[in-house]
Amino acid sequence: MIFNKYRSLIAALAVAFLASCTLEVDDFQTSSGTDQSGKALDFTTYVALGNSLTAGVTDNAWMAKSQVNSYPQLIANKLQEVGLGATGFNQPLISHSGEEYFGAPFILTSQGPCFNCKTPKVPTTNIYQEHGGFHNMAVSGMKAVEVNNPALAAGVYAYFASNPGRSTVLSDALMQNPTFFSVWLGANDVLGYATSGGSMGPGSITSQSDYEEAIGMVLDSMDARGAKGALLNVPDITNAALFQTTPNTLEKMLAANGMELTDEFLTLVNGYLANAFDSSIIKQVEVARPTITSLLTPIPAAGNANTIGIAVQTAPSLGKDPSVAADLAYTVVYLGAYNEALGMGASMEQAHQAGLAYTASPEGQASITQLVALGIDQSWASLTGTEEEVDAIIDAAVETTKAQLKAAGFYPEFTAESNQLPVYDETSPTMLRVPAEGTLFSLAALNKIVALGELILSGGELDIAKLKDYLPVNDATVSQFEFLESVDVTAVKTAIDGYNSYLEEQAGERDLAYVDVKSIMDDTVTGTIIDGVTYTTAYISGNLFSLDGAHLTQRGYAVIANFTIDAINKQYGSKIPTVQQNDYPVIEEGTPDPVPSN
Amino acid sequence: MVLATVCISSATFANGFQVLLQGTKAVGRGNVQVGFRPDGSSLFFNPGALSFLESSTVQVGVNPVFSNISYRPTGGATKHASTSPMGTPFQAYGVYRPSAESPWAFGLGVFTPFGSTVSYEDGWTGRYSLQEISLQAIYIQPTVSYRINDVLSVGGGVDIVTGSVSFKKKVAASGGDVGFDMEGNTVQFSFNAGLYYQPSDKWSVGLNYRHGVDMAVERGDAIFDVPNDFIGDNLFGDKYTAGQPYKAAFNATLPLPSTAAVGFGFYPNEKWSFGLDVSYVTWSVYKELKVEFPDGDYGDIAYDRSWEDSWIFNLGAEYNATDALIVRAGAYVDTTPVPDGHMTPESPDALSIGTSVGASYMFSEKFSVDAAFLFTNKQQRENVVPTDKDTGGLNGVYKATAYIPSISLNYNF
Repeated sequence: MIFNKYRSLIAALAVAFLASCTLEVDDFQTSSGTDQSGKALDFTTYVALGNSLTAGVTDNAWMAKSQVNSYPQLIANKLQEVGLGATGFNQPLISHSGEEYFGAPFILTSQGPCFNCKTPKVPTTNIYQEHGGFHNMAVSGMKAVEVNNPALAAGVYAYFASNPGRSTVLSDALMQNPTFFSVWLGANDVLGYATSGGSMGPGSITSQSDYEEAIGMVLDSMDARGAKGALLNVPDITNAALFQTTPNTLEKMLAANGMELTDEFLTLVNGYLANAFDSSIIKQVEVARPTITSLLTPIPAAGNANTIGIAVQTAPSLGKDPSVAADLAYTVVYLGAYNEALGMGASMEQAHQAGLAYTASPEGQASITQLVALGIDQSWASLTGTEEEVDAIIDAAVETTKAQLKAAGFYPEFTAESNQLPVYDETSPTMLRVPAEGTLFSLAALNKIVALGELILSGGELDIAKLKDYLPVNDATVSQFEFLESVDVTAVKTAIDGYNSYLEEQAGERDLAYVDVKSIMDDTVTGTIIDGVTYTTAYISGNLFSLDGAHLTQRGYAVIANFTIDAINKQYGSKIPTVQQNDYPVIEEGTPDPVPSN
Repeated sequence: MVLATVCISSATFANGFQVLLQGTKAVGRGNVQVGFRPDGSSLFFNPGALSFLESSTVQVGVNPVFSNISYRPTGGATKHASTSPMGTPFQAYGVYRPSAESPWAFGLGVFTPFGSTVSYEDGWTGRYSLQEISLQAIYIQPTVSYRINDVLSVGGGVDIVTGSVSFKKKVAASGGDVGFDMEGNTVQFSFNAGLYYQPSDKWSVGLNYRHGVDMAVERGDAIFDVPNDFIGDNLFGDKYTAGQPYKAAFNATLPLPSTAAVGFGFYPNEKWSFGLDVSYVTWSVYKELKVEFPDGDYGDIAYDRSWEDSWIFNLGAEYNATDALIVRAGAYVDTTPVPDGHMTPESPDALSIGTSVGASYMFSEKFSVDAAFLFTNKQQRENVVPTDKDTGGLNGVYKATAYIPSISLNYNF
């Protein structure tokens, strides 16, 4: 048979195909890398220090399901996978307590986010004796300055402290003899301030020197043990969904409703506000109509001069200048009390004293202020109190009042360039105030601004008494904080920049990997695409932030793990494999707790 | 050993969405046919050569494609493999020659020069780029060829192109991945023309031009499967019905390139034949993949492609072992149209080398069988997604290979 002749040739070709042709991509090649001195990096014991972001907090709670995918655990998994170390990496697992979470998780239901669908839970035991020797020493809410403070055990640290009230996060971490570490601290040194109304609230920003002292102590301790590691810098928390979701300008509020800010709309909304405010201003000024009329009416007994004319003449004797509105008003109020006293039979000296006393009293002062506000002027001496004259004075006073309210930010007038939305302000005559541009509204005010938008777009009536339902409130007495003034935003950003430049400098000096989380997060403001997923700071739709708007989704933490691994690999020339971030969920759908029957 | 070296030094299948499987004889000799002595498949490769056929012929063939794409994320240690089902490009040609002396030949061919079938495991890391694609263009080509004189003939055909596409991927969203499936069909027209010159028994030359065609799908079906109703409302507003997949109409166009080819056949003696083809493929027509939703249901999707024109060089040889048996072998090099950073899970393109062997056995004057085996091997290539463009791709290292057996039956009358 003819095939026999070629069988060996065909077989040889087939073998050549199968044996020589690789059908798969190359294997990943691992390497530990070396430090500056050429010493191989030792990943045997990896210890992580940090706050809620390091603990794996998501959806407003410390969740068992996300803790097991905290960014240090993901890094440890990869180190283990390629045999570089971190074999005993041990986290203070929430599951040891039998609970699924600590805190009060927000959940996403088929109707949207729910903020009170889960019963809050707190740890009540200490798991150190049974499970201790922890490598992820992250404590939710911990500031950098608390890293060596035993008092931290008043909080969630008590759950896994080696000796609550005596041990510190740092001492527990050092007890593990770390050979490699990561530190991500500083967000809480500004977050408490930012979420409690900034300078209007009880929070404070950790000073640069205190921050440096705390971090310096950590780094010195690690250096003393020859440990290398990674420093993650502090993201700009004002760029988080927490502060970027609620529209703080008219333009953004319209954009959220799929509309653009046009000149027609500006005219409409300014007209709408004028409608709401002007009538009350006019009403307020109209109250003075009888007073004005009586001030202008000629007095026959005084040779048909009116009260103003008499005051103009009297003022110099009181040491007042009638061309100055406040002086003239003073004199008018003085004369009123003086004449009243005379009428009641007082002597001229007694009447004079009564006049002086009344002008100094709160009532007298209020009358003076009111006259000044009405625009009292010596030219009124020539008027006779006709309706036209009084109308003109009232109109002018209304205009003046409006101008003053606008200047003080109590009467919003939006323009294309400047359309910051107002906040609630009890001290304002209009109960609202337009704060400086760049004032941010927190997620807590989202529903109010949505309601405000619906009200304006539907042209409904703005009830001044219900402004609290439409505008963000900062009220320390009830711990309600819904906005952060522009100047406080700047203070937060400045502090973060300060912390970060210290971290970068220390990373350089101490041969540590530096992870620029701030830049990574800043990029997501416009959107970052990684492996087919677009990450933005947008609430719910941005894939990065969890339902609380400040903590990340599990996939967000995986992204952080990868950037950290990249930074370590770059700094030390190591080859630690990255994490497949798409294996981890973004915000998941949750089930509400059943409503307790009573 | 030569083949072994080729494999080591290089890195699947034809590049772009081309399917270089239109004749088992051609497959067996590195896909050489444009200038080579004709058979039924010349209807595809060079209709100009059909009037050189000695008799009428019918040819049917199939080429099962067993492809594998291996992928590893950049910096990652986990490898992924495609789970693509077997592809079955096929061809059928019928050519009528009124007589051996007639200058005319009339034919009808059905073949699949473009297509792609790629799928990956559910939930794989690249699911936001691609879960599954099935793309097929079936050409039906009535053809005529005319021999001007003893040495020169021309031919041409009109193509009725029926295309179908099914594309599935996921969209990341809160409440769970949104399933995104697109399905569409279209019918378009194109043409093919060729020239064949055979001045002596020793050699022949062929030219072929196949015109490109825009496979435009109008109002195809896009189905969004949204697990969470709140997210469904957010995406589609009042038009969304809770618990129901959302259906939207889409428009999209996949441009298929023109191909210009020249080929040579050389027949030094009765035993040996050699062939060489060079093709130029205008893949630069594929600038972007744009999916529009004419009813405004969803934001337009625009993925940058920026593909480049590519070349294919084919070389093949045949040996008449006996009067009834011909054995053949060949190889081709296919440059990739995909620029750096633009690789996607459906087109993990790289320089591709195809090596093949084949044989024909004549059971009688009238009936013969062709068989061939092709191995295509794409170079391992790393993809780094550009930061200034959205390609819909993902970072990683790809390597694609395919085993393709081919078989055809010929009946001459």
